[in-house]
Amino acid sequence: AVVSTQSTGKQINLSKLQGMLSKVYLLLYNCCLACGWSIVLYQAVLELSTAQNPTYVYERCKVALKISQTLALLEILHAAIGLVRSSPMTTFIQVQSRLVVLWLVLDPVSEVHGYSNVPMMIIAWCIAEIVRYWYYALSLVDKVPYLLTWCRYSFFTFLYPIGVSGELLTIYSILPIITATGLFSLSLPNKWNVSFNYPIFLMLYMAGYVPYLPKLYMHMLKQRSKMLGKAAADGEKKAN
Amino acid sequence: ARWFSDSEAVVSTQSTGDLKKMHIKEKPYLYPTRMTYKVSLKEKALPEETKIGDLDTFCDGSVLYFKDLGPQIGWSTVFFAEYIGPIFAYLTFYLARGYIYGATTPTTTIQNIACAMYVGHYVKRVLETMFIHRFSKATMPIGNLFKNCTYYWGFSSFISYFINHPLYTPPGCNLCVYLGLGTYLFGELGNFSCHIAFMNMRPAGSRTRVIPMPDSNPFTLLFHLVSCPNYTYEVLSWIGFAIFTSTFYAALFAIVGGGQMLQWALGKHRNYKKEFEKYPRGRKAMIPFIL
Repeated sequence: AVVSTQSTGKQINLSKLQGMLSKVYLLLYNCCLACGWSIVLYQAVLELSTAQNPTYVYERCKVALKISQTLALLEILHAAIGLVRSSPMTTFIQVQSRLVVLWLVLDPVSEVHGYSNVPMMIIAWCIAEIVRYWYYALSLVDKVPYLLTWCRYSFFTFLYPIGVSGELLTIYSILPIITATGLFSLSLPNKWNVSFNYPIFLMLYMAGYVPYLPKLYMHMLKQRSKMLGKAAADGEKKAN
Repeated sequence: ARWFSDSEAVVSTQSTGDLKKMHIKEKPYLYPTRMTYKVSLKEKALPEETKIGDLDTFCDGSVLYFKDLGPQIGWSTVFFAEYIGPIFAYLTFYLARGYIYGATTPTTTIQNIACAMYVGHYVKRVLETMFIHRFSKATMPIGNLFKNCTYYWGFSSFISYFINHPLYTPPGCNLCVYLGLGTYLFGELGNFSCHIAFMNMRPAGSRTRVIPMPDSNPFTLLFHLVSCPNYTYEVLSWIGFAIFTSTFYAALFAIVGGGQMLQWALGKHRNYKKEFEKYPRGRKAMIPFIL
């Protein structure tokens, strides 16, 4: 009898330990990314305020930006293994769209780095991500101030349109350049009998945004009324 | 949805088939293949021709739950629609090269053989659907038709566009040509042998399922190793075709098709194991010894 209670005791402690480790890991992850994006925002704002034109914003913050945005790939893994409660497919779609714009559109085409839509897009991304990661981090320890919840569920109303416009404008702006340089495009004849027209691919990709934005926006609006209503009620409960 | 018969009382000697006829009289848009009944919402649908009297908990006033599966389409119909696309698309790109590419040179031997391979595969499928296959379900939801046709017609267009292109490049090594063709033929013969074997395992007009076993055809020996050797052979065919034509979209088709077939094989394998207690243990779903 002593042995069995000891072994079940060990089992309970193991799963509790796993739960705690997951929390600590996620807390670390979310805090690191919130800091990373804060660095990007700081660099972007600094460059904008000191320089005359937006040409060097991307150059200055691109290292922190690339690291922070690429690390988001981990979130797909988190969703896939059940560490977080999101759908892996939704997470994948969101992360891949940012990575496509960052690595396949913006980074390879230096001619467009100075266009004004670039810092606009980067700053929109920064604000959205900083709020999001702080919200996740504080949720893990149950200490989310109402103001942060309000920001998380209200900022999207302007950040989504601004961010998406920035992304679409950036993609659109590289089209004439890549048509001339043939970036990432493949033409016949070749050993694998395949051709790839990158400009046309990007145009189809842009068209793909059209059904998504209204759906995502509506979903966030619904979440907003649900979460802000709940947070207000929780706040009142705590006050009483 | 609950349905109470307004007009006639249900007698215990009647079956679900009779119920369906009564139901259709009141709701003429329905037809038997889209209708199922359940005793409770949590259980599976009642099999065809269940007698009401055989239902254990049934008595006067018991409720039967009805589910409308939506518009249905016959499996054969779907298969024909799916296979017409590849045949039509490939022959169009092969025969109308002058119009489509402005091609002035004739096709090479490899392009000719590739056409025979591709079109031949789908002609074989049409013939099998007409004379060999025995389906366990009569219909499937009509949404599948559009999804499946997009897949087949779409891929066929890409594949045939590139293979019949005047700038087509055949594979670099002769070995690839013979290896590809040989693998394709091996796969086609194996796949056909399995289809014949399946046909003989199920008597005409019935929907019975048995544990698949090899027959006298050596190709069917693969049944010892996998539940769905027909899929195994088909994936081999497409791999052979991709090697023979050295075409990216053909390779992609082999991968995507293979992945889909693997999913189906895993499902069928699971069903076999559930249905038959004595299902052979060493067998895998589609890939011998592996999965």
